[in-house]
Amino acid sequence: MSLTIGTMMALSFVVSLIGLAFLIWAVASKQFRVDQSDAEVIFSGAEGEDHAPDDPTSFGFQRDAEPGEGTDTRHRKLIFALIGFGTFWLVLGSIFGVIASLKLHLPDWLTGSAPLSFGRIRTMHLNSVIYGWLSLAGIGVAMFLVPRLFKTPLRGVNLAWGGLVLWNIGVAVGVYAIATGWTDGMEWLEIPWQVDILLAAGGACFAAPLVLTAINRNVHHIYVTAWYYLGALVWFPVLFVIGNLPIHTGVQGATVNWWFAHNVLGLWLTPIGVGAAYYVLPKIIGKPIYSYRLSLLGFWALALFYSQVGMHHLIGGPVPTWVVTLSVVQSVMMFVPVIAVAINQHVLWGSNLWAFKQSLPLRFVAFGAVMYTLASFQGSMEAVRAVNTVTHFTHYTVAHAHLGAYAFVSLVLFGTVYYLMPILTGRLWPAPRLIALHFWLVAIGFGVYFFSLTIGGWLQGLAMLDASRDWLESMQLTQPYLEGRSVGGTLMTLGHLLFAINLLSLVFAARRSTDAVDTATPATSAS
Amino acid sequence: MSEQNQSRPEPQRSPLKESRFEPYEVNRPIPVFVLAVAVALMAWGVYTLWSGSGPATETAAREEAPTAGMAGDTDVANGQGSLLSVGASLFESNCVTCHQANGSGVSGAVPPLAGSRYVTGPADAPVQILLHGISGAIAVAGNEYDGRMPRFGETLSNREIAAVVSYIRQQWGHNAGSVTPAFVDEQRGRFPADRSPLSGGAELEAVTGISARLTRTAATEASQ
Repeated sequence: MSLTIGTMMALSFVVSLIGLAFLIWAVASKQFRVDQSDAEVIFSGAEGEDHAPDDPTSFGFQRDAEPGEGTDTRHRKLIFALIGFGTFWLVLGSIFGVIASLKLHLPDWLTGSAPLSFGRIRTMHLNSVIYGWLSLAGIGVAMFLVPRLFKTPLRGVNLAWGGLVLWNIGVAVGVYAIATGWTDGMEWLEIPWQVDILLAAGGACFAAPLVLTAINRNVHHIYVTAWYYLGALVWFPVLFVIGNLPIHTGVQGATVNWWFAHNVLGLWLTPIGVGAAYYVLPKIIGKPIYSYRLSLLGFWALALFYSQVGMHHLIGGPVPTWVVTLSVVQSVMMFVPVIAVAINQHVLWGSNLWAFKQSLPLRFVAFGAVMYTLASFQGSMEAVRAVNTVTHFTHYTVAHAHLGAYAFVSLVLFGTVYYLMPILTGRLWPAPRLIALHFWLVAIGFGVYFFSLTIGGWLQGLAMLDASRDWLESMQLTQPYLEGRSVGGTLMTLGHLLFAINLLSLVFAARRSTDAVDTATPATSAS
Repeated sequence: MSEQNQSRPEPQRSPLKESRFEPYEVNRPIPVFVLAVAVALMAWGVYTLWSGSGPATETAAREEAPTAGMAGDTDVANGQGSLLSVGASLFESNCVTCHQANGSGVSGAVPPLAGSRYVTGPADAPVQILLHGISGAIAVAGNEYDGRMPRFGETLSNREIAAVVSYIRQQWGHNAGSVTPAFVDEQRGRFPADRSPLSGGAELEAVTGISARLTRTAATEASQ
């Protein structure tokens, strides 16, 4: 093999291995000089192990409440707007998704217009939920968490407002362009690159304030959540710009396509979800994360190994074998960071099940954190050629995508929003039962969705591999499972409507005193 | 939690009533089993990359096939065994996608080779199909098919066509004779190289004399 880009990329695996080995050595030999006492000095309120649980809706507002640095809420309207527009795209995207799902088993339905054809409406669903819902809500959560993690007010709030406008216009124009049939023609990169310029500019307007805030930090030690958010802020703009440059064609285009598409999940949505869970779980429970060193391992192993996992989507394609093999190996290496994160997060909430039972936001976030572990394990296995042979080009892959992007990231975001809104507004959720209903709708809906498509997809894959069976059989046998998917998707969409109603009722409700709402909270007289 | 709430100080409508607790991480060591998993995966990764770096591309077999065929050219003249091995390699890279490794074809779409009278009958039939392709209705082993197969006259040499035809005539329990490159060359002379594909079983009957009619006896006779 001559010295090509290929050799360099294979070398990158070796470099990653050396990096991981070095990290493990450094952690083991205590090169990172942060010990228990450091942790407590860093966080002034952190003496001792046990703190009162923090989730106003379930446990009431805290009596030791006291504004800390970085917790000022002058920019809270920005956060409301980000989450609000995100929710708008969530509801719209879910409706697109349900329509696309129904069309798979009701092919004669809504055949009259091109924008409603399956190919377009499914793509509109994808782009609405990825760039509209997950990205906007994730940035909203970042705008909430980053200032308080760095103990300094958010910088450049007006710039971020500009970003919100640009980003929303970008997503709206992009989704409209897809409806009219104008796309770049590659999965996850469908929004025409001309429109992507808007998104890139909007993204820069989001990233700059957060990075400025980090630069002006008032803490020495940076908490793990902030690593993930800063990492995502550096990674995603690079991915987005390179992936959308209109210069990739042919096999190279396909390679860049999947490199980008998978990295959106792993280096953008995953940090958003994992970072939020790393904050909300210990915050609500009032106890620390299991191990700082595992946090280090989890973060750096993700950074080292994730960037090249996407090309396992091209197994069997006309790309060099070593590209795919490298990608398969990197995918399986993802077990390392996932196990690290799993221990850190699941030990915490698993040993505090009383909080899991009482706090609805915690329930969303813990459920999402478990789904991260499962989605990642499943993804590593799917990348292996023997499994991929069956699952490739089937509904199984769709189920897996929703396990990651929905059950993991979306549920963590739901929980985080349910946690932070009472803190930002000073009001309790008016109807906690609707939150519980939201949880059960999306949890049950997702279960129906996931198991339908996983079983149906696997059978579909086996049928396609069996040369003695007619190919059409592999389509026909999926029909009951596709109907199951529509049922699950509809339940999830109803849950999203409830989420929107909950948000509206909190934000736009007349200023009512909390006693009318929650008996656990004594009457208050607003100043 | 209720006693806590009751003893709360005079509540204010400040939006900042939350615990002062900031999340942090205890400085516990990494569990040994996590390190063991990491080391095991690293070893597996190196091994997989090392051992998996054989063919240069996912479709390498296809690209290497002609080379293998050329390398086998001298062997083809030498003996039966190498002729069949070259044929096997060509078959795997050019034919299995449709006709399948066991020669069963694909039900309703691609005719089987195993047990086909066109394979085991007079050798000019498979050679002509390979040279010019075939399109249209054809009856094979009890079923009707109506598809099309591309021509290989330009992509495969006489020796390669001889090798792959000999291979399919002796696989799957077939016991038909081998084909020589000279025979393929002779068959090339029968039609211009740029002629249209054979039109189904009907034209095959005209060209090779194998009955297009689908009867048990026809299939059995042809295979003898």
